Amino acid sequence: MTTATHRFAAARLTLLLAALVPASALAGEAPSDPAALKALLTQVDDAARSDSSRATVTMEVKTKRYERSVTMELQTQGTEKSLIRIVQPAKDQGVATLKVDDNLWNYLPNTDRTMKVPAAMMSGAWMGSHLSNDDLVRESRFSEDYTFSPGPAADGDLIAITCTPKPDTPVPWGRVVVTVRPDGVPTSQVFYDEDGELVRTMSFDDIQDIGGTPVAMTMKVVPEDKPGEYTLFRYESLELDVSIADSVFTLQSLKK
Amino acid sequence: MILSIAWRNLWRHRRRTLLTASSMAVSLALCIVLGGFTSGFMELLRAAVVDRSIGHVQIHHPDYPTSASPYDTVADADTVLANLKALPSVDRVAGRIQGFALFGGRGEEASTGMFMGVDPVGEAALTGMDERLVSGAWLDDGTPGAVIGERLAKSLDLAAGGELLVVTNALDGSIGDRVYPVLGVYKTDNIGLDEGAVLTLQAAQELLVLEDAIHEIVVVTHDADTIDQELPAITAAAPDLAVRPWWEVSPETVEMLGLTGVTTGFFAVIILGIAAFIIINTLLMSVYERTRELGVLAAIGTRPRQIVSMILAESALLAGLSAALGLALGLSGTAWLASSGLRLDVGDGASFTIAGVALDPVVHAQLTADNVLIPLFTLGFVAVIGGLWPAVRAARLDPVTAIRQE
Amino acid sequence: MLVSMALRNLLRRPVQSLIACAAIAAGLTSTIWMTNFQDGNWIGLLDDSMRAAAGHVVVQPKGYQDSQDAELLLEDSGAIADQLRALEPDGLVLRRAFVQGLVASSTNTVGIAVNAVEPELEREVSELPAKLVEGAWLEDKKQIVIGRELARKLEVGIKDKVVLTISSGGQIVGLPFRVAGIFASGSSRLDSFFAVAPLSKVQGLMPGRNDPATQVALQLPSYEAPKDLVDRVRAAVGDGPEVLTWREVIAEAVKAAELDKGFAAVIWAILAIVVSVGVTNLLLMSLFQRTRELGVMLAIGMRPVDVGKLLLAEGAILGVVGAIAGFALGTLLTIPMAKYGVDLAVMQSSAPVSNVAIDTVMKSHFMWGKSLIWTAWFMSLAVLASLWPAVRAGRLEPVEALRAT
Repeated sequence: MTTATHRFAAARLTLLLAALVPASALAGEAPSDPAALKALLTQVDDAARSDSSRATVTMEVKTKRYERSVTMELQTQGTEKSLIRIVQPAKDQGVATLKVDDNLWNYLPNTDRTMKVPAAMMSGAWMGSHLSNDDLVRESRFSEDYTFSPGPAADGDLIAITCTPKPDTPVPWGRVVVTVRPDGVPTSQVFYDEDGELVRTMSFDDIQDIGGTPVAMTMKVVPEDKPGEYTLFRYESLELDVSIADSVFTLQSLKK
Repeated sequence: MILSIAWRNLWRHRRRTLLTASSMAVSLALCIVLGGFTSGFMELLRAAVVDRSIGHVQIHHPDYPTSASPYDTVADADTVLANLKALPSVDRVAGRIQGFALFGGRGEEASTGMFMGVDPVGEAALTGMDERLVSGAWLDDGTPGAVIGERLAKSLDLAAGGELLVVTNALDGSIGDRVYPVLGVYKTDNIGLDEGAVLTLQAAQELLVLEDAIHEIVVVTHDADTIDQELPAITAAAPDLAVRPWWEVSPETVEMLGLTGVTTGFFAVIILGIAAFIIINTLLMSVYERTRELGVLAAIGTRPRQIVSMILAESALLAGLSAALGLALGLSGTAWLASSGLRLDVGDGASFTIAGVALDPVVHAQLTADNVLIPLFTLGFVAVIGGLWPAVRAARLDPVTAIRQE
Repeated sequence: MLVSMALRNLLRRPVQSLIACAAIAAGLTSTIWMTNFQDGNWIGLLDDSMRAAAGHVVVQPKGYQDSQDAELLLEDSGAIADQLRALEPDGLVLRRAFVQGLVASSTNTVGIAVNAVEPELEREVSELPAKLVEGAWLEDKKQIVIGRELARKLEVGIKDKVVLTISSGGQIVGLPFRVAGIFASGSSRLDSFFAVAPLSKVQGLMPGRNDPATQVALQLPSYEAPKDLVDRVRAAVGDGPEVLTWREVIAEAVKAAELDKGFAAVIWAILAIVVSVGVTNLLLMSLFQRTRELGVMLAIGMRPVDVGKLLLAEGAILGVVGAIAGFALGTLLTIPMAKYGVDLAVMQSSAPVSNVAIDTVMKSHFMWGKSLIWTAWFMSLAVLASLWPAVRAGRLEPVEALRAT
């Protein structure tokens, strides 16, 4: 386990899918009324929740110690269930991670064992990236766990929303600033600690049209205290609204 | 001349002389034994914590002491270990790898903890960990497998013969996972170790993708008292690495030992003080008892100075006699304690732990110059000087008054 | 009659009497002081361990003491606590939960041990409130008190938010807590891995359980518990949980103390021998010196038996006076040690079982019982020492005695 500092994230891997927004997304000015903001983000969340997807994702990790490139197959159902299977590199081929609600399991083909990730490992890095295991399971729905206010000012027609976690929310952020395009596609999420210090930046780029919906195809996670390090996720292929059997998201299927 | 008079005086009052001498001798003897005992006690603690746990010198990558990062390794470990073993002052050397992993048993339960990669032979020689097995066998380079701590065994319901899954983040970012047969279960009373597992160095290197590197080298020299002098040679054998003696590695141990030393010294001083006080009282008493006799001496013309010298001579001889007796008793007592040792526990057989290290509570007294000389000179000084004031007083007595004393 | 004669004899030889008394007094002073310091310190240590960690009698989930499995919990702990209160209205009943978890700040996550306690009750028994260096003790809110090292690792200060996560019954639940206080216990282990939070809030992290706790402890004002207490508690709580005495719970700390005790016993034995031998020899020497004087007494017609009794009486008076002085002085010298003690940096043994912040101060404790025993010993020593000469006096030939010097 690396001793890299660990972070809780309000976003998780499947937030990639939050880039999905129904075609009826808002256009035009930033809503300044909190209720409308909430509605906007709820739409984002709802969309992610109701959809299923299948994708091939590459992950590039650059740290001070190593550089890795990992290719994986990802299947999701809403935000509760996801199955990730590593395809490349050879050493990790077949490693699979299953998330169901708050629980996370890893399957390790090398030893043919399935392990539930215990609480003590949750803050550990997932597959050597800058996301933690906890990032994968965190069920923070932005709209429920945060309060919103507009601002700060954003470039062009981008909308910036400051999200402040409610007192009972188990995240150590002071605030998160989410910047979205008018069509609801997020362009960045910036995380600040309680003293207002910048801790982490996630940026979404390369917005493409997938089956009629704009999706950010890359997500880059950059930790503030480690210059030069980043983790970059990229969709190599993505299908939305596919039908995936429930049995896919079970421990049995994890092994295959 | 005076000495022979003094000597005869002493023996003329055989009982008094013997009573005083025996009291002083017993005090001296016990103070010597006390010194030996406290030294032995300190040594017991020190050996347990330093020799058996921290080691005399620890060697790491320069950043490792503060970072504890598995990436901060000692590269080219074999060469460094060989160099160290070749040093004449070095008794034992062992290398270790340290990591943090997820452990699994048969079922779904997982437990997190530390694991170590060690050289089976070297580690056994260093810490005697192979003697801490409660079941099964120790590691062996030829046999694939791991030994696990008792707490881990309990939480995963594993025993010797079972299989241990170890999952960790390898240093190249990939997942390192392996299953090892459980060769044995150990109990060190150190919680961290008991919740973890120990692998061979090679197994750990393979798991972590470490190549030929390790994290820590522990060195034990032949003589714990000369570690300071051996440091340059050790540093030369381990270039570009952080070489730290145990007092830098564990200042808490220094504090603890120092503290124990202070408290034991404190008690020793008190006892020495009381012994001295009683000796003075005894001597005072003895001189006072002789007021009449001294008065007679004065009356027959002995000069004050001569009286004083006589009393001083007596004191000196008495002190000498007591010292001889006391030394004999004290030295033999200490020698006996040194060899057979004194068991300090209440007899339930379980071992004690001090600072996470188990020890067998048997104290072997230590005979050192200090333990003997300090009581000897302190009490000897007191014995001679203690007679001085009353001697002076006696010399100034009016003989007539003195003779009338009873 | 005898006594006044003895007294006169003693006063006729003021210096010798004084010396003898001084020796007795010094011997007794040192043994009393030493006993109060050594034994007293150990009693104090146990007392601390007992108060902070457990209690006289402790009710825990069955098997917890052996396994220390954080998943084992008592349910309905409030009801159990009420039962114990009914048994011993004078006692203090505390509930605690010991859980393992993670505490995370925005910069770091650390695995820790958490003591979930009832803040107001725990304040009375725990050492930690006194060791706070910043902030204040817990109130019954989502607050947490952590050690200084931990605060440093997490880079947090008072009022900062951290997330406490525990894994319970397979579920992982995390809630935010605010840092209310930071302590420096003197033990780097405690300061880095230990936190205290209110039980009612930590229970919120264990959703599958009904009013869970790891331990319900009953503490009584004195450190010796009535013998049938354990049985009564067992009868009250039934067969489900295990009921233990404090001694069983803090076995670890007791063992460490016994090593010290063994050491202390040797030191103390040495002291006892040195002073006893010294005083005895001194008295003997003085008494043997008075052969001539005794001869005179016999010559003028005193019965040997009476001479003997006289010597014994003298010995008794010396003993009593010396012992009283010694007792007074020894007790007096103990007072500063008992009040302030000697402040030492902590000697930490691995006592994770009891989660105890061992007191850094070595204090004396008034061991009245033992002090009195020692006082009696020294008094009788004086009399016993007089015995041999007293007997011998009875056999003296007056003429021979008169000729002695």
